[in-house]
Amino acid sequence: MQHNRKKSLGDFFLFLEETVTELLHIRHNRHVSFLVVIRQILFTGVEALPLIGFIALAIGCLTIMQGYAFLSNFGQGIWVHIILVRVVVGELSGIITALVVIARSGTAISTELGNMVVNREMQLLKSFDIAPMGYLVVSRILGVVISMLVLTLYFNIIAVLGGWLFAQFFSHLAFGAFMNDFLSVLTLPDIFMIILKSVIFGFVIAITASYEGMSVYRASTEVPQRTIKAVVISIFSVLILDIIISWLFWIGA
Amino acid sequence: MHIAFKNVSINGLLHNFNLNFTTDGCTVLYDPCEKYSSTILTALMGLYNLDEGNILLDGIYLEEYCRQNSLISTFSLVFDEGIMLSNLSLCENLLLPWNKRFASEDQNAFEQELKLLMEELNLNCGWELRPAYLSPAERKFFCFIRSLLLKPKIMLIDDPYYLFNKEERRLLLGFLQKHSKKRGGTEFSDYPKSENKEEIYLQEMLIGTSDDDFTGEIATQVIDLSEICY
Repeated sequence: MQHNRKKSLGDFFLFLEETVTELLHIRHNRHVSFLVVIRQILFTGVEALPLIGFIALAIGCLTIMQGYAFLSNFGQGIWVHIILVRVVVGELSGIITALVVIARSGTAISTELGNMVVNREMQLLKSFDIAPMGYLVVSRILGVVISMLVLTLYFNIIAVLGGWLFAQFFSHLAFGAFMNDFLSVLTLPDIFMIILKSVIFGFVIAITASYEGMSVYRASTEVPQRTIKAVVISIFSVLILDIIISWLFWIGA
Repeated sequence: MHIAFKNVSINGLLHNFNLNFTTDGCTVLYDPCEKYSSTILTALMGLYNLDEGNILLDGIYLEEYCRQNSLISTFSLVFDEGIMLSNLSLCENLLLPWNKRFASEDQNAFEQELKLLMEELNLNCGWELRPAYLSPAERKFFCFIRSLLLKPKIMLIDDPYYLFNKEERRLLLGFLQKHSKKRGGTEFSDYPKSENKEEIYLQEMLIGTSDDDFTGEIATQVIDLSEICY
């Protein structure tokens, strides 16, 4: 309770360590709430489907349009699916989904937890002998990671199908042939990278938002400040991690 | 239960504080400066990190006592502001600690008892509502109900009259008087599954208050904290 001092990076790592420890013992952790996990998936995953779908469709169409226009100059329009795999599936799907999750769920988690601290709801949970870390943080992290993974896969499917549909406007391309070309470029490491990125991004977004929310001390005016901080740190972290992961896979390839 | 605070210091709230008493029925901590009683109740729940000193329950250190007996079966605290979890419905708010306390019990017993307690406090709102839709007084009434449903050994009540108007205070006083009767005299007898009857009764109350009127009407013992106030 006595955390009326400025937070340092060390505090974040202590928080991270505590969270990871709780996550590693999740099977025996009676504080993790199935209800909280499900609600988080509903909010972060299910309710974001229309927005993610729309963005994915737009990105898929625009990539095909720009790629086709560019490659046609060299008579190579049929290779547009390579751009789809490298740019959309490999990079944009993870980053754009992460940005949407930060905007919707990162802010919501940080605000909600911050308000709970201000309203002494953390103390209430402790009085029930329930650890806020397990009940609120770990449950939310699980919900966000699962949602992030599903949303990224959903983004890729919509972007690829949307891209193919859009391609029909200027060049008749049989679906079977398009998918064959697409799958011939998509390798197993690509799929592994997508999954790895979405899991890591989900974890980073959720833990940053939770940490900032739980760092609110007493005043309600701290809540928006912490939320803004959570958003900024999450965006930086996601982009830096994306570069590192892509670079590692590039070296590996 | 014997409660002892030995040289307890808590960051700016208590300094080298000593208190020694045995709870008996309803114990009131009379605190005219409205500062110490809340801290004492909250410290009993283990919500503060003690800078110095120890809290002992029946001669056992608080942490050790809670490990042996579980916190939720020992104490239940009604916060002065009637705190509930804002993201859960009323029913979920009451069920969350109840499920932890009585994991193997039938939920019908919970619902029946909840209905009775709501009737006693003239509450007729739906259980599916979020706490934000209730008035602060109604929320606090539900906090009293939540604590009673948990059947702790000692119920801790912080500033019981806070948030209530005159009529609600009268209603609450009658409610507490009824439920503060010693075991055997209370209405909590509908738990055929539990063999340990002692444990399911609300045995005692520890009330922190700054209200002179309250102390006289319900207390079996009053601990005056005026000395450390001034």
